[in-house]
Amino acid sequence: MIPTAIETHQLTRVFGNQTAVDSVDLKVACGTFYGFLGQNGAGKSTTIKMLTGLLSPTAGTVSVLGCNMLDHTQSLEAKKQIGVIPENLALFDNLTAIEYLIFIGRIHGLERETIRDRSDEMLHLLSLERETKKLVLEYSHGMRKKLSLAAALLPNPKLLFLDEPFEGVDAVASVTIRDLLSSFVAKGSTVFLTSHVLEIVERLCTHVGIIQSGKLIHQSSMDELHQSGTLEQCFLQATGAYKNQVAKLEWLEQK
Amino acid sequence: MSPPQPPKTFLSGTFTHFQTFVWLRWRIRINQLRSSSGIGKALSAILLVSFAMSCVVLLVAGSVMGIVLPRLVPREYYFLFWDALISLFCFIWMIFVATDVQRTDAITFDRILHLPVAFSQAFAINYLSSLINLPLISLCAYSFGFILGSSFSIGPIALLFTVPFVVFLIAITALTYQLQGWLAALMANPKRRQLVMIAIPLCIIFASQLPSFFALRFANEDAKRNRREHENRVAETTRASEQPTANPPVVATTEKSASEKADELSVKPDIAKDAIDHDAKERVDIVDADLRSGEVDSEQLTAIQQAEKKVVRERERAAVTALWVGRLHQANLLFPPLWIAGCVESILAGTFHVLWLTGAMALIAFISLRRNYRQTLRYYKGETDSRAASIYRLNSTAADPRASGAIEATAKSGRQRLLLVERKFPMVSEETSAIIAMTLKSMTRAPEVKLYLLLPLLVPFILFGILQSWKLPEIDELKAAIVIGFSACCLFITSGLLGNVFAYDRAGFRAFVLSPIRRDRILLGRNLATFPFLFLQTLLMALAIGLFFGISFDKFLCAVILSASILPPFSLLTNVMAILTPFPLAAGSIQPKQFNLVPIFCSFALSMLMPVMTGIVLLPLGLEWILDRFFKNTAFVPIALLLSVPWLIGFLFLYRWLLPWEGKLLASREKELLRIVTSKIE
Repeated sequence: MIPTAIETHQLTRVFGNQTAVDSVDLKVACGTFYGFLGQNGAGKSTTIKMLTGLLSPTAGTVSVLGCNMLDHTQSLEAKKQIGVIPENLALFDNLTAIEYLIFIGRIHGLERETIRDRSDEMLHLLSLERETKKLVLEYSHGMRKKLSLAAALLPNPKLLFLDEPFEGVDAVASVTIRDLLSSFVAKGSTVFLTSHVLEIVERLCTHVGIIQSGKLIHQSSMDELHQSGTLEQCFLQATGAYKNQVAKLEWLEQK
Repeated sequence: MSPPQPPKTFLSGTFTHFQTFVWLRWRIRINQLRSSSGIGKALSAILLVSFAMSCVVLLVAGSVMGIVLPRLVPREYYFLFWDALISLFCFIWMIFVATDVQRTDAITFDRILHLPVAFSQAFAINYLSSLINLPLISLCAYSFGFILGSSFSIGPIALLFTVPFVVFLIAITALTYQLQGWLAALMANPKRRQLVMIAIPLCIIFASQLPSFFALRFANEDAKRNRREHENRVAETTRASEQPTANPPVVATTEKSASEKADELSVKPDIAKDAIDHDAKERVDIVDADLRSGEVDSEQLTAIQQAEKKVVRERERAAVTALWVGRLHQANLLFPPLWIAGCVESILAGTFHVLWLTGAMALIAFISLRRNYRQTLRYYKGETDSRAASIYRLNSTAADPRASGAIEATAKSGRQRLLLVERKFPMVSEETSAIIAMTLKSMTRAPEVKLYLLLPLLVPFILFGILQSWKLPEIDELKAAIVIGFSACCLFITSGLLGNVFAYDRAGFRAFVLSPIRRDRILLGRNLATFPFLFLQTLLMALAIGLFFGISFDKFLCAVILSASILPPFSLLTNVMAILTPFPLAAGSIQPKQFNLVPIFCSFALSMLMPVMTGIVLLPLGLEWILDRFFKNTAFVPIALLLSVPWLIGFLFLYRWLLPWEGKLLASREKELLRIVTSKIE
């Protein structure tokens, strides 16, 4: 039996009178490249926050790599084995890229030389090696994303949570990241990724989950999904986009 | 098909846009209020009502003062009220500007420039919005009341003060707006922003100290001169009473004194000379007449001398007053913030100064607003030199292969040396070392943090004037207690930073939440990173004040140890504040983002425990003082010094005992903390 990387049961999060995530039962096996899709405001980022311990669920359970994320001691154990790119990143503005990576490496108990070697390799790979003198606050959004990915990969985690990792990243870096993630999964690690770019998800992911209005409405392997069409067709169908006729804006047609 | 809209005139279109902007500002404010908590809404309502009431109170108080005060002083001194009022306002205004050095436009241009809205309209409404602030509204309420009241006491002519006052308001706000706009443009470069963020508040603090510094210097000089002159006169008078024919020396000395005074009183030499001549003549006449007649015995002579001394003192006081009034007359003409007082003076005296002073203020306002408008326009069009230069630098570095080679070489050489963020600190774990190193590095770069850590070092300079006038009794325990009190005062200032320390991490706090380390180690790392700065502050403060008061070495040592012993409980307190009462801060600023009063009040209430902690730390000194007072034979034992060491150790144990509990508190609150410190800034 394949061990489970992520498992949630009736995971729910309520903000005021709005339910952002509603009784989600997720199950992601180890070695899976899982794409988590949904429209804007569907609950993707809220789910990732709860999975990584950035947000407490209102109800339900979360298990990551066999650790209960609602238990503080166990969640620390899980955090030793995961890497995360959160929605709004987790960077310190007044550090340089290398300083930030050293800090993350030390927090994960890596040796100095290991941190240096891995950091240099990753900064080179992500075309950030020329920006090492700059502070993070001087970075563009794309550069920040790349640095966050480097930090997430630095401790060589078993499980990666990536919230929109390709957003704002240039085309060259995007290809590099795709290759990097593919080889990461190929060696048996797990990636849980959210993205709006369906082509990337279709190309990379082995499994896919679709969330709408806080409810998990579809969960399957990519092979199963392809039996009924492309990812785009499935996504639009599942989210009910086909049902919504585009309203005819008469005034827009007037000259 | 909808019917075509009738063409709008330029003015009606402008007014529609203006209305829309006003509505926009109003909606934003209302929505901000709605999104705050119930207690926050209640506190906001209370504050709003208090503010409205205080405006009414200020208006009434100003009116009453305007009616009463001018009747109590001669009309030629009336302008002094304006000098005092404007000086007070300038001081408050500088503090207000210091808290928000960079201009934050009510409506950011990049959100509206794509719309068919004139840039000038947005600029005008932003400028007008900047006028709505507490110091300015308070000044207006009080001043208009004062002008109204004055119109009853000194006549309708006082209503004319309104014109220069309004021009003054426009001039000072336009200048401030321009300064803040210039700083905003300057801070477009993130690195330069750091320098500006520190330099501006420090400059403002120093500038606000300048008037009191000059006043103190003048007062000291005057006091010395008066003392010298008084001694000379007393000596001369005594000599004159011993030698009845000694008129010439008295006159000679008096002449010398008058000439000295005339030299020094370049402002109003005639007033001073008249006073002294009259005084000398009167004095000589009295002494001569009495001594010649031979009717004066020694008792009468003493009485005459005393009466004469009194007269001389009064005349000296009058001369000093005349001197200061003269100085203020000059200041009112030369120092632009005081021009409004110059205008008042001129209107009352019926001179033409008011015209050029008001004109000059209007010119300043016009030039400031014009430059400000152009500067803002250039900035939003991306035409600032600094930007162009930085883009040029960026491009040239990218294009130049030698530059890129240099970057790689620097990167390689950087690999060889141990960076601060890689250092391992003794007696703490690797993770704690990582946090100490990272915090030190981040802290020494963040401008707002540097500002907070540097501010306490200004305290001795600011208090220098006050300390000069202190004459303490020769009790060493008291001096040591003052040293500790000032150290605690410095810590109190930094509690604003450390009591909300996670808010300064902003998005970086997420890295702590995601990290797999024990939360008490995070707190320990952060506390230890700030410890050197706090201890240095304490030591410098102790040295400065200790040297000033001439404290004995054992008490100095005791004061340093006891001051250091405040640090562990202080760290515990600020940890609790940071965990329980965080509030989000704007990027690169110490200004709370979306003002929520509840955590700020709670944080302030917690910081009020500082005096209690200081009181406990002072106990050894108090004990020694009591023992010295009641048991004289214990005077040779340095009880406070002996007790200070176990005191410090005790506080360290307390810290070690309570830190794990605080770690658990942080673990239980970290998600909520993260929500608060990042929610309003992302």
